[in-house]
Amino acid sequence: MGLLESIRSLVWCQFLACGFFLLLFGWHIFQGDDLTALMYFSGSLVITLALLIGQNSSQNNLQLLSRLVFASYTLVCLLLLLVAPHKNSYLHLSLYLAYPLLAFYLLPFRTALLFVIGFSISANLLLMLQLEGTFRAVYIITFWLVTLLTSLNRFAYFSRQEALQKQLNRDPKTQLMNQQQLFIDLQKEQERAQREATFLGVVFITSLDNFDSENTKELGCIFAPYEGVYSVAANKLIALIPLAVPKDLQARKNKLRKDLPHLMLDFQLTSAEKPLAKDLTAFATKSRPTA
Amino acid sequence: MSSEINDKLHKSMASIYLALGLGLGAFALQVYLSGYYEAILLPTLLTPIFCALSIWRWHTANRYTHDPAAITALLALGLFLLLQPETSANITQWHWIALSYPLLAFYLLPTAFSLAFSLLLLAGLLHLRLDNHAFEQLLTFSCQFLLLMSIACFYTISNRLKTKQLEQLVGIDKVTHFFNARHLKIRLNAEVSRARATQKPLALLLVELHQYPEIQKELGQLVANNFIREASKICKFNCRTGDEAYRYDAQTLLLLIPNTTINGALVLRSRLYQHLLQELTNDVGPLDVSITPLELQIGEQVADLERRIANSCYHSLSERVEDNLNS
Repeated sequence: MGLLESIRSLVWCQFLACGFFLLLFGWHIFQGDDLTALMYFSGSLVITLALLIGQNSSQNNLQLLSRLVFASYTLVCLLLLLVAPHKNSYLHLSLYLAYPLLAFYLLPFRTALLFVIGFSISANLLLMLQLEGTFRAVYIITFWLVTLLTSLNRFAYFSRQEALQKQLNRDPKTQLMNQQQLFIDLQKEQERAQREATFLGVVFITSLDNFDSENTKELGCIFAPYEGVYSVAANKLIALIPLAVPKDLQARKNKLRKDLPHLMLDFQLTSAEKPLAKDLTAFATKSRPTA
Repeated sequence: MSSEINDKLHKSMASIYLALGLGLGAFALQVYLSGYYEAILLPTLLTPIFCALSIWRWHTANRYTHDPAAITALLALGLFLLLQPETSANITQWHWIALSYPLLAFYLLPTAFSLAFSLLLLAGLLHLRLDNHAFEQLLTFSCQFLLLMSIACFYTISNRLKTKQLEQLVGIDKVTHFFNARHLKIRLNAEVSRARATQKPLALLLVELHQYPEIQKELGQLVANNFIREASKICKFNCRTGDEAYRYDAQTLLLLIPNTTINGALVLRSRLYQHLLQELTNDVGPLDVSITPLELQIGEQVADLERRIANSCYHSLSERVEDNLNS
């Protein structure tokens, strides 16, 4: 399955899950079972939020909102166990099996793990009080087994993703080389310039808005393939430009200012004797300029 | 790259099979002790199957898109859920195990097969186990089952999607810490255009470690990784300022040496060869390595250079000859 197909299938599955949540919500409202209906409704909110966040999970306000929505869903689930123990059908309890999946999907790994542990212990205590007989044993065993399996499965993927993050030399959002690769390449390019008796220019690029893969594709047409462009912050890029002679920088300056009038550009000529690492770090951490 | 995930996951898969095997074994014992002999056949039959699957998966990672062990397990579990005689009038417990089936299916086999198995099970349950229930109950059960199935499906897809996206961005090989073949494509384009712009030569060295597959087969992946890691250290040590090192494929390292003619590459080649002979050892015999120098030709395009690199590998010669004969 290709990347695009996977994204499409993901969105379809989310729509489907949201649809079933709403369907069961409507059914329980029709049956007059308001608390169970509320649980399904909060479940549909969780999925809707997941749909809204999509791949853009880095925004702080969205992360806070997802925590709040998920906390409300957890509270409704526990409340249902506490106040409505004797029902004709225990079918709604099956949704508790999917709790860790929703937690790990919506929240960061460590937060989700805290939610799952807290919920599993509370739910287990309430289930011990509310259920009885063979059904209690079967339900609690299934519940813990699924929780454990989900946690292990997520942990396996999480450790793999962490390992990949460490190996990453590109920024996932802009698809450009990241800051770590910049420092490696800067040193290498400086040494190479010294060996080949050439020069290295550095362009500091700042934008009022954040860069995304579309803007950076445009930049890719302006810079030559051997001129490395690196992402150092959401709205800041750095380009390393190998130059034959120092006066070439002036020509590049004029051309880039003409091609990129909407961006703030600063230029600097480097040499092996003049370490740039501090300047680069200061540029990356400097606060966002105002319009 | 996806086989690396399989390597990591195959032991957790084995644990799942073992847990299921032990669960079925315990269930068979409980049925035996309660004297309900009619229900003993399936759990007794399936317990050794799950234990065998567990041992298989523990020792061997899956190499197929659709894991045969997972397919066997899901089929067995599906049959068990459909055909196992009920031990009590209250069938709620079967509901539970059936409802956790899609979750388990997507962990074991995160492909469209799980979806098909889950839907088949739902159809089977509605037809064989729940046929005497009211329509409303069937509808609620189906909705609940499909809800769990869609949650499991998007959870699995999202996990795989995130991992795949990261894998596509990674440019460094985790064993040698050299750039990987994906990054080579980008860098080769940059270096070729730089060589053209500066009118300077560009050369490269292909270092093929012919004993790597044999070491991997006879002494295991860990020893093979150590072998190529040691080779990469020697290559790195012999690289000059501005040279770049890549892991071209499992057994081939590539050194991209800008501003160097073929003569310069030959000098570097003999120096590197001597260092490898002196410093790199292995347990399968005297070192068997070939180092091929290549230079960017005037007017040569990146795609042509890539093709020439691929055609210069000795270890893939037999495959290329076979391909040519077939075509």
